[in-house]
Amino acid sequence: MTINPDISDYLVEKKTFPNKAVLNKEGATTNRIYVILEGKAKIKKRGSKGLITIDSLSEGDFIGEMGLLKQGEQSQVVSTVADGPVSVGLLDTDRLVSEWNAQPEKLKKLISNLMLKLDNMINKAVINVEMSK
Amino acid sequence: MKTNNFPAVVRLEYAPGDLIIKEGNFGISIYTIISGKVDIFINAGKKEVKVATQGPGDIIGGMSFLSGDTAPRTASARAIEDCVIEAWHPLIIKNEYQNIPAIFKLISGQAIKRLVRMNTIVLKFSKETAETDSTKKIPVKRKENRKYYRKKVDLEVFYQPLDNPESIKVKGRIIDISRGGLHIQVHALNAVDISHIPGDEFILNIYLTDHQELTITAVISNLDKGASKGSVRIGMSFINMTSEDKKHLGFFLIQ
Repeated sequence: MTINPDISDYLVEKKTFPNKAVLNKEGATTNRIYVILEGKAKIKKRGSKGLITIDSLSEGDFIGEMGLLKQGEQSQVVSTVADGPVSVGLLDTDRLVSEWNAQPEKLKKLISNLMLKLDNMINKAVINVEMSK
Repeated sequence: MKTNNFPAVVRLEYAPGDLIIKEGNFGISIYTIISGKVDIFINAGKKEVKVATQGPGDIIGGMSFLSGDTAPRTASARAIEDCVIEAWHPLIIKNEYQNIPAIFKLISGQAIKRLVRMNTIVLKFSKETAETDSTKKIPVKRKENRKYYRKKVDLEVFYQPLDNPESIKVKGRIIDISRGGLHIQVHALNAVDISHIPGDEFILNIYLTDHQELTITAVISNLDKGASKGSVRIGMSFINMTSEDKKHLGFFLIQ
């Protein structure tokens, strides 16, 4: 994959994970943020009856970014699982956090609200997927 | 109030029921809620699907700006209390947004695409259930529930709003149950933080036995005073039961 120069500037390490490896776990407070360099991953969320697959990611997509940008919330809202072998780039989280904190409050609030809306919508989608089964 | 050379920030007041943002319209204003609460909802055919409730400090209407001001509004917003809201022009933050590290714009862009995908899932299911169940949100008359045998029981139940799975669960006792629904007795103080009106929908965790738990969705059909002081008796009708749940409940009822 040709890495977007806006992203490659933040790359600190490349890693490869096998099929079904958990790249980040729902509820974890880890602040690792990845970008998918090659391969695919599934987004899973815990519902009342177990894990539900609700979305998929591919090259260029970020993993673990919602925990960074949701103000006041640092835990991961979903789990991301490798869908086949996947190669990811670990981003410089310290730099991202520092740059994020330096942004104007109104802008941070705007983007943080977007993340909260996504979180709410993911929860609703999980309920709907469960009820449709 | 004028902010440098940008358009003025305007303070607006809304009464309960007032529409602030309409899905499908083109709009650029961004709003900050100063006081009051606002429901965010999307339209699934003739049905409204609430996706969030926003309160003081929250920003609404920002998706259009983050999408580049070219897309119509993806959701509606309606005041559910008296609200004071600050409306401001996106020019106020346009320069700041253009100057943020590009990686944050890429992350926001991905979040918007994912939000659209989740919207699609919610809408798809909501339209399907709206087509098959046209009585949703309409209180079910008590006599319509009496077509099934109703068993007197004393079972523990926990329930939470269907549209807010993160809320605290309410604990109650099931006093009777049938294939179509049940009555729950709840201490009024336990239920005060969650809306309990006919038409409200919940996820119920019912413990039929020590080893048998059912998770069922139900809608409130009626409310009465409970048998004990300070309690409420809530009548609920089951919706969307799986065949497995129907089987387990059926076995329980004939024991």
